[in-house]
Amino acid sequence: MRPPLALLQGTVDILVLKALSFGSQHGYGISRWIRERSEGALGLEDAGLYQALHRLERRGQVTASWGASENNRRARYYELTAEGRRALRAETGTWRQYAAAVFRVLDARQAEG
Amino acid sequence: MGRIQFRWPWRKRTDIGIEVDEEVRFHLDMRAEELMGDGLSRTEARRQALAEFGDVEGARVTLGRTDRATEVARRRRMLAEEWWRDVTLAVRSLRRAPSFTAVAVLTLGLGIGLSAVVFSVVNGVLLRPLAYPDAHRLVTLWQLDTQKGEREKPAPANFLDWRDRARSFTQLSAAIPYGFDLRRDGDPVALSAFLLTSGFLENLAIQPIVGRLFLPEEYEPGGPKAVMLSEGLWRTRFGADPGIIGQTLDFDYPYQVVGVLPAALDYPARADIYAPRGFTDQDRTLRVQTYYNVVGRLKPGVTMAQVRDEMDRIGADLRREYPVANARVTVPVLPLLDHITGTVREALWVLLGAVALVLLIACVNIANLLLARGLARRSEIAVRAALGAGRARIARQLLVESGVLAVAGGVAGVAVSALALPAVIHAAASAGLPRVESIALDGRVLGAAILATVVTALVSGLVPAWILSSGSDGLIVRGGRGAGQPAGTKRAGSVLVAAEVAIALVLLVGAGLLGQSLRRLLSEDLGFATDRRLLLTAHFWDQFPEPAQRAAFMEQVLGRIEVLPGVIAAGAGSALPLSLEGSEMDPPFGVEGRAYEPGQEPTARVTYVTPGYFAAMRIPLLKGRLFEGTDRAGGTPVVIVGEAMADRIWPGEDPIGKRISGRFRGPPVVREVVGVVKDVRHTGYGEAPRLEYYIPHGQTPFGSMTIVVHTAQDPSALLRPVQKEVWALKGDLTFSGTESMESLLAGTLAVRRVILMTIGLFAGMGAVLAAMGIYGVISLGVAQRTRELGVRMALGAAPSSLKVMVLRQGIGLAAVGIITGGLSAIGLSRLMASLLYGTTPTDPWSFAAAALMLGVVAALAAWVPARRATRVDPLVALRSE
Repeated sequence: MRPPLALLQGTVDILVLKALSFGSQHGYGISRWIRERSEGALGLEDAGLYQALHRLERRGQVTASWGASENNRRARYYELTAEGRRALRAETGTWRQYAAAVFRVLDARQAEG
Repeated sequence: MGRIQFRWPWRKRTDIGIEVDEEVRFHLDMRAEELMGDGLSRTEARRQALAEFGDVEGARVTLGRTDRATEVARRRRMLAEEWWRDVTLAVRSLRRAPSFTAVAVLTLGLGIGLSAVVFSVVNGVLLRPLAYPDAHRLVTLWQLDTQKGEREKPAPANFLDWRDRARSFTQLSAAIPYGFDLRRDGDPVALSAFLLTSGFLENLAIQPIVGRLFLPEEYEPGGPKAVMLSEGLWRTRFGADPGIIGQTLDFDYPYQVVGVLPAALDYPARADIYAPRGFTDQDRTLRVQTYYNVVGRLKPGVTMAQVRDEMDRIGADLRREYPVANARVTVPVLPLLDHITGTVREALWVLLGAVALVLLIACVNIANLLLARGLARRSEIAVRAALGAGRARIARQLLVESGVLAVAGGVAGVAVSALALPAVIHAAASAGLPRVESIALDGRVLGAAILATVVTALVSGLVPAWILSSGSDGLIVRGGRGAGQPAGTKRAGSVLVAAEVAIALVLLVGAGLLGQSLRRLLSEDLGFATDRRLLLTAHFWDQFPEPAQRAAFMEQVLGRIEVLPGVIAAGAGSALPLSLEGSEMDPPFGVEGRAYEPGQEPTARVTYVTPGYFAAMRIPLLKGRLFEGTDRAGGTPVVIVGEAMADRIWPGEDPIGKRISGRFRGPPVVREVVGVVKDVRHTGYGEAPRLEYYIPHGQTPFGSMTIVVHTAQDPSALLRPVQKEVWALKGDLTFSGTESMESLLAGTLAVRRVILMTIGLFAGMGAVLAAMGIYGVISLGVAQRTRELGVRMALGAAPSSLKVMVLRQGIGLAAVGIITGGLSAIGLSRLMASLLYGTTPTDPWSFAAAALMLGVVAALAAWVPARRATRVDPLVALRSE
């Protein structure tokens, strides 16, 4: 197994927003979802994940409330706000453009012009 | 997934810590369980979960910090939302009652607007520093004659002694009024001027806009002759040409123009020309003529108390050293600003107090309206209370409503004041108020308006909020119109109205006292006529250096003027009543057959007059004779004395034939009293007659004379003809002042009139607002007692008795207000004692008039709803429930 890739801070935010776009979830659920979707390739520390969640809460992009988990324990559930959805859309777009641009450079076969 | 929605209104610091711990623990437990499901041992799973998490402790700290910030922001947002909700609620509910809102905003707008206007005047005239740098260190020095109790301008020799001895000032300086005659094309013009001692311009920190200040040698007597022009003269007469510097202007001697002084130089007054003034040994002997305007700049660190001490000491020394001239002279020191604002100071503070009272009445009125409105809405309030709104919440809602009204009123008020200010400045300027150019809506005025708005919101909102919210305990949800109003509301309404009446009474008493003072002043006999009198002042010392020439000139000029068509009489005097022109002389004199200790001689005002002067001024002769053409040089020296002097010097004796000796100007001359005339109030109304005597111009031909012409019609129409007669004799003579006696007289009372009119206006507004208050409370009472009134009528009560019942209620309210207002006025009117003349602050006439007026207004205000009470139809009233 290759060592996980280190993540930039903004990237954590967008991953968290994406994880929440399917419905409300607690921190552990988000952590597991990201690990499964990325097949463990992203070296996301849970501490960073929670910091991102609380930061997004302060920015008003997610709200938090206590609820009962699947095994009936008290868990803190996060939910996207309208503001969060907007942020996710915008960030996703930026990411795609960024990645596409990087790939266009990397995929170049020969120096042109 | 059954989640329990649960949220504290807000989380405390400890709550946040606990929640963060719980969240982290939940995560670690879940992950460990998952890893154990993958086959790891409990310790191994635990270890890996921790490792994956990273820095648990660090995360706890940062998460706590982030949450606390989130919490603060959330609380702030909630609060803002709540306020915003209250504001929109208030706006909506006010829009549903447009007439109430219009009345309230108008009342408050007027109250706040007037307050802002008056405050901007107070701010501009009294509070803003003078336009000179570090103006708070500028002071003026005076001579106070402790016997006459009059503040005089200092005499040259005294000024020089102060300048040499005082240590508190960087340099003591003086400005001396003077005149230059400019003879160019057209009519010769008299230019106003000041001679400045060295240090005057430096004290005021004035820099020339063109050219330079005077050089030290130009201040030396016999040094080069230099002048500086005022900015005004430079622009109007010389087209703002910088080339004027270095040119020579021909006055009595050729003077070189060295600079132009900015218009900012306005003390002691604006003038056209400034020239340097040095001193000769002769100046050190002049202690009787007083005409210097003395300005000093305090050295840094010197306090007013210190400089006053020093000048007291120097004054005492000079009293000892010059027991004749300075026997009773002390040296008061005044901040320059206080001197310039002078008597206007008290008047403006009184005006500010008065406008504050008007605003207070307006607030009380709004409080009353809000209370009445709250009553109409009390079921709505009760419903809100029943739905869980606490008393504080409801009180706040009501306060927000008064706040919205106050803010609207404040905005309207600032608009009103911005619109009114130019007119007010114009009125203030024409009344002769000082410093009107610094009146403006500046930051301080806006701040005061905002403060007034906040106070307005609280004063008009607190009482209704308190009372209405106290009745909000869910008791009267059902209460329809028929339910009686809560006792507290009724009492509060009555108290508020009584308070309005009381404040209005205070204002009316103030206006009454001022009116009474003005009446007393106007009823005084000035001792001379003021209507249709044209005044022209000329200085002709230089044109006619010989005394005989001056006497002959005056005689010829008056001879020509007397025969002009439209002239009834003409004469001339060296210093006329009301006129600022001419020098005042108050020298000591001796009386034949009496011996006075040095310094104990009586003093009297001296005027040099032509024979026709008394007729032209209509000063009546009481005894003996007036001057005649034969009273000239070479004849027996004669004198005419005023009534007060005759009574004081020769009580019970016939003054005719008595002799006095004047020691003013030249060797003592013994003069024989030939007549007694009525006394004259020289500075206008309000001045006590002083000792004075008159000397014939033919015997002492003074060179600065004011010609007074009694005309048949408008005096201004004769200005040109009279000037032409003078110029026919002496073509280059100029007049330093041409006025009518009437405008001079009006000027002496202008400020008083403006203050009286303003306070009268405020008192009127107060009375109208109080009447509105009475009307409101009584009509509300009648409306709510419709049923009771109906029952009474059904039981046979006469409509007139119902009317009396309602009327009595209104008058009772007014009576309570009038009595409390009267008592407050007794205390408050003392504050305006300095504005009163011949009237005590407790003048019963003013109190009675104010009380009567308010009583009538109250009766009228109550009469309208009282009439309505008699029209109640018993059947309708009984069914109305």
